Amino acid sequence: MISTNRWLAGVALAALTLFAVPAAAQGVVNVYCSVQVEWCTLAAAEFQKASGIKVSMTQKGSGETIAQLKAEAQNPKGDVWFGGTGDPHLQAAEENLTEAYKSPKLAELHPWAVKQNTDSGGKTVGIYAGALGYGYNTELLAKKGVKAPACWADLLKPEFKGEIQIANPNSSGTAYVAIATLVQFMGEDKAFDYLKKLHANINAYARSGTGPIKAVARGETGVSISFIHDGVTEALAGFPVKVSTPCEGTGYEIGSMSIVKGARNMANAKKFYDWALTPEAQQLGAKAKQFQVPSNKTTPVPPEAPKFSEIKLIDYDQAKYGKSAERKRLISRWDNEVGSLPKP
Amino acid sequence: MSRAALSWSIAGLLAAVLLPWYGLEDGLGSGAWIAGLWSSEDAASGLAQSIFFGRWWLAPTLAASLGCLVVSLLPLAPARRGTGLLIAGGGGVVLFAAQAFAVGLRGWNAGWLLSLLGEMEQRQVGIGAGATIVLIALLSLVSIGLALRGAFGGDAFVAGAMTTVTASILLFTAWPILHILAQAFQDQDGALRPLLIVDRLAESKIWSLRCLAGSGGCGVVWNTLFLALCCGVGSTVLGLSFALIATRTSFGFKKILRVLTVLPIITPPFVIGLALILLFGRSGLVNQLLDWSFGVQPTRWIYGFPGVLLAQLFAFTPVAFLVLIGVVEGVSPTLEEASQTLRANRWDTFVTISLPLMRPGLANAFLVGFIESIADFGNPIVLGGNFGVLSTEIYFAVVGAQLDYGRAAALALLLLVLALGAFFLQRRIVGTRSYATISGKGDSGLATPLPDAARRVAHWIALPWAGFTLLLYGFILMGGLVKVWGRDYTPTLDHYAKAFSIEFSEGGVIWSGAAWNSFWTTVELAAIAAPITAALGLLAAWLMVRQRFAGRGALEFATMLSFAVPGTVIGVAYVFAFNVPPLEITGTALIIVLCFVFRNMTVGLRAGVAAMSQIDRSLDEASATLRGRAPQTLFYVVMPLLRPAIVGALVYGFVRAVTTVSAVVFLVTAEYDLATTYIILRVINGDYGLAIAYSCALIVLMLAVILLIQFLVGDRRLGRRALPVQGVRA
Amino acid sequence: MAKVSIQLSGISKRFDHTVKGEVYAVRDVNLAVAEGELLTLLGPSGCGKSTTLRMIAGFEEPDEGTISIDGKDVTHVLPNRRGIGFVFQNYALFPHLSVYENVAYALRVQGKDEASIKRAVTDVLGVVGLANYERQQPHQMSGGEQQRVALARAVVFQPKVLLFDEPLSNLDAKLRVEMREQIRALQKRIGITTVYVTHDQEEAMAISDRIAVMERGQIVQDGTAPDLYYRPNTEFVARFIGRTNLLDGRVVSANEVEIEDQRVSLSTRRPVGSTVRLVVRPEMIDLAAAGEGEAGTGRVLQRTFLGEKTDYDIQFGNTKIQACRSDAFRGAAFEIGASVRLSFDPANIHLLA
Repeated sequence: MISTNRWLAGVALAALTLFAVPAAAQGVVNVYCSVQVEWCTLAAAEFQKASGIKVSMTQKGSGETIAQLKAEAQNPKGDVWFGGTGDPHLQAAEENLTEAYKSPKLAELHPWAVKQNTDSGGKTVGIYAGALGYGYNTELLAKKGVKAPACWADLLKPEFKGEIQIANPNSSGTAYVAIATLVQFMGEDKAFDYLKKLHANINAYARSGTGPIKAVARGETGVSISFIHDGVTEALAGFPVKVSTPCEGTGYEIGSMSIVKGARNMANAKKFYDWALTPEAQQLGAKAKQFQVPSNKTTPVPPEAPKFSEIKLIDYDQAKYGKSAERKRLISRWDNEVGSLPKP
Repeated sequence: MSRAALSWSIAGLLAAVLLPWYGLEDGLGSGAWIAGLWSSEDAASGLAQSIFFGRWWLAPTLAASLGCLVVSLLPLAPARRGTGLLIAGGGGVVLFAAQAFAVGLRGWNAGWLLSLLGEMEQRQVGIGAGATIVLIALLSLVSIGLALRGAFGGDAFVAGAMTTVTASILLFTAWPILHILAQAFQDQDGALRPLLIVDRLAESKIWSLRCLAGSGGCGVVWNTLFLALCCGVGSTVLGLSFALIATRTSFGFKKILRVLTVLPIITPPFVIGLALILLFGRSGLVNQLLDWSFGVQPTRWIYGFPGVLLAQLFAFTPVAFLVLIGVVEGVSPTLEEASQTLRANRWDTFVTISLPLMRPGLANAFLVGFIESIADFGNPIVLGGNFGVLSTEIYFAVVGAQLDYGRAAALALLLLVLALGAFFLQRRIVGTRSYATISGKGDSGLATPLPDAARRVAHWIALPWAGFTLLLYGFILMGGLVKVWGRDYTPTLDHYAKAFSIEFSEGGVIWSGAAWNSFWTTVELAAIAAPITAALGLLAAWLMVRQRFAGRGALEFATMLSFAVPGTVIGVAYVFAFNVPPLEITGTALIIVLCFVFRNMTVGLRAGVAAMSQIDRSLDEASATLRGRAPQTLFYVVMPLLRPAIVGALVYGFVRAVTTVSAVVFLVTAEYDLATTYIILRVINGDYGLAIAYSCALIVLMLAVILLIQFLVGDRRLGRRALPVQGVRA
Repeated sequence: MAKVSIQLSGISKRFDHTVKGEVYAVRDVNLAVAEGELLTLLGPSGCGKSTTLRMIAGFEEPDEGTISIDGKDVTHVLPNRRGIGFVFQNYALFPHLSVYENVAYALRVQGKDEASIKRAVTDVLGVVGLANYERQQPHQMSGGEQQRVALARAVVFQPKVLLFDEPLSNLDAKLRVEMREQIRALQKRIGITTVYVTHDQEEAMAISDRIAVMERGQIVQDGTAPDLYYRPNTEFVARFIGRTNLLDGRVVSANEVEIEDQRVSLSTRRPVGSTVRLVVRPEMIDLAAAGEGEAGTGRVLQRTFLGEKTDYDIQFGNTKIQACRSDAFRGAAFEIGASVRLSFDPANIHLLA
């Protein structure tokens, strides 16, 4: 019996020592951060310096973050969701997981960033944008004697057979942006015809959006369809990667930011939100070697960043194609018509 | 026992009066709560809450605790006292659970309660120290009551152990998992629609057999099954080869072999996958070499089934080895000698005696390989390419563009069915035969050396594999020491410096490296979790093997749950279940520790079951007739004989805690970041150098810990000449 | 009769059998063992003797009936609270503990002080003749030595009852005799109530105060060794204990029974003309040389010379009879094929019920 007591007492003690509800005291803001980790830590440190508010920063992919927000909806633990592609932010807005907020800084932003805000009923805002394009491995293509792709049409050429990678839209927002882009400028049926033809040249539908560009960097595939700022990052890491944007026009993502509904530190969350829209805050991306286009008009754009002015952008309808229903429809059509095709 | 009942009653009542009932924002450490026990709504004790702060629903539970005290004090016959404790304590537990689930953050939790009793002004947050101790006291009183009434042979220790194991498994495994699996039958708004699961599972993506017709990929179920079968068989064969070489041959490098088989277990996930890509990928060394020397066009074969299987074999062969080495050691040489006297040669003996005797072990090893494979997420995600399995499919249902918990739950259910199917199949095949091989008859004998043919086969299988492992790890080690892995091979220590730099200032040491924070958190939490994991797993094993009780199968089933369900589902399940009162522990270290413990205890349990069924029951009986009570038998007889299993469970508990990713992705916070999640982010960002440097540091850490555990727990001293011996019990 | 120490009242134990369904391992067993008595449960394997013993020890609970030790009902008491010493067939020595620690175990778990443990262990090891073996590990010892350790371990804490489960079956014949004498001596010396299980009738007779013979889960007869030998209740007991001739006889009058063609005077109340079964032990048949074909003679089929005696198989009418004779003089033996006269002493013939 003594041993029983000791055993249970031990368990009780262990439970006690570990029992401490997370801090939500004054002067704290809990941020879920879906951009690259350097950027996250830099943002946390700088905001802390500027405001004196302690930042508790948890870095997670945007898919994981929205999954977490959904799981925590009853009793939210995060305050702000910073970064990550726009669609999940729009979805969170749609599912009422985030809070509407009108920042005084809205006026300083590019129209696309403001549109993201109005589209979502004020529940999210653009903080950066990144265009879709191609990344390619210069060494591999040179060895094969193939010219770098410059247009969507180039990708159908036979010399790219087995050389192209794109992510699977079931799991990747990047791939979905690509499909939505094609649908918007070709029309839906034509776009799917194109995707079916493209299928012959694809070697794998990667699981994550950044997977293809990493495969390019490591020489596992010749060409990827991905966000061009990701390609720039790989190139700066020393890999033989170059990027190009399609001549027919391309879509883009709007990296966004939202305030969690029922945030425990609402005032601080709003302070962080306002701060993140300032040029000072938005410069940090470039410092962390991330080269998206910042949403504040006055933020200096680093020279390495792809210039939006030099890219032929389509008029991407974030509101329509950000809706869950539309996305589900397009993805299931892709599943049935393209994903199920035999391996080329 | 009556004294124990009295002390638990008093402990429960003291906790209800002297400790804050609810969880506090800043824990108990500061002591500030003492002043507010009667005055502050946050820090008030259970009694104060129910009297002064309108939380009347706590009163019945407290009354039940008082009832237990009364029952303990009254002069009653043991059986009657037991009944009393059972009624009062059990009632208390039920009342506790009822109020905890009925009243939540926003008053009544359920709609029908709201309409029945009207809007509730009060609310309640997660339970704290007071409530926890009251609950533990009530549970202890229930087990004492059961023992007094003669259950479990009237042994309070067994009853207490039983309650501890059952209650904790129910709370931390069954509840969260069933909670999330229930979503398979609910639509997006949470309404119950049982038929929805049919829709969710009737997809061609899941069941398609197109690959047989040569057109397109097969459904994920078939992929998963085929992969798991191959992995189970492959890892068992490899594990057996290593085990045979290590125990039955005079092979000269056994120590190295053992280290080699341990390495993959202690390698953080993704690292093996990355190393394989860099070796066998299209631009990998092997392909480049073939291209350069023979002009073979590099292919992408590593992506898909072959690559995943290879990586899984690397990862799970060691587990099979650990399961099998004990079994191979335990096979009685006397039986083998007997066989040889019956004119069987060594080979016949090996095939007809030794192998069949190892059958439970082989089946166990296969089961572990099979289930590990279907629950594995890291390898398929890195190497799978177009080859989808259930675990990745589930992951993308949760975090991908679909964000469909219902679908994830339905798929997880399917995965569980596979795992449990394998489990029951194994039970059928192994059956109830007794293979006891360690008994109290301490005769000695020498293990029969392997027959030549078997030895050659084992060597041919194991040694190339070992060489391959060495090569892979050489590569991994190098990866942390060069600028850009796979591109720029300039030697550098930058990655280590970045992760683990230490500065010395007047104030002392500054851990300025980027990795220190997550490193120390990982070490601390894993060190807390490992002993609990091992203790709970072995205790459960002991109960299952040595105690007869109803619901044994159900308990075993429940422990399988957390093992077979993919980590991602567990992670989400934990957030769902423990983010809201009564157990509001998300964001704390506790939830991470609990996740470690209940996810990994199954292996301790299985190792314990395997080891314990080899220890003859007469040793327990001898201890019992020598007046040893159940706990004494456990500590003085069973545990010393279980040393290998204890080492295994401790090591596994620690190592898995350090290397788990998918389950804890949702549980880590800024404050409690873990090494693996940190590494994964590095990998995602393409910062392989740092990721590998960190991984190498973790490998060294885990090796050190394994040696330490081995040193602390020590070997099983059977004192036999070379190997354990014994005959099967008549 | 002395005070009853162990009382089994109507105990039964059932097991689920995969083929036969529910079967009784032990059925309605009633037994009382007196204080200080050594009772042996004797029977072939599978007769339920070990199960009975395990129920006394508390390893199994009876489905029906009660067990009491020293007047206290222990039916549902855990083994460790029954105060029993148990010696296992396979010794069950703790392989990780030395001889000293094995023997000291019971005292250790009771929290005795080191000095008294030392004294008790040294004493008992001396008694079983293992005084210098304290530091040995069990595996370093011979079977007999291990069994003596097991014995020492079982008695060191002065249990009320000592139980043996086929303790000698793993030993060679000579050691077996030696050990059983040692067990008997020790048991007498400390006067402990003992239940001993064996399938070896010679061992049982050598060691026991009383023997209970079990067959198919039931006790068919209990009594002293001579009781069982000379007056078996059933054919089973008669066959199981010692060698025996079971002869069919016909009652020819109130005090005469005919065996084959030989009349033996034997008083019986059976009706004239009915058939009876007679138990005649081989050594109780007198053999004498006789002429070929005489009445009441048989023919020697087989002769086995065993030193102090010679066994004969004899064809006697339609039955084969075993007989034995201690040949006082060399060369006085009967040859195979020889005709011998058999004579039965009525005092040595037992009539089965």
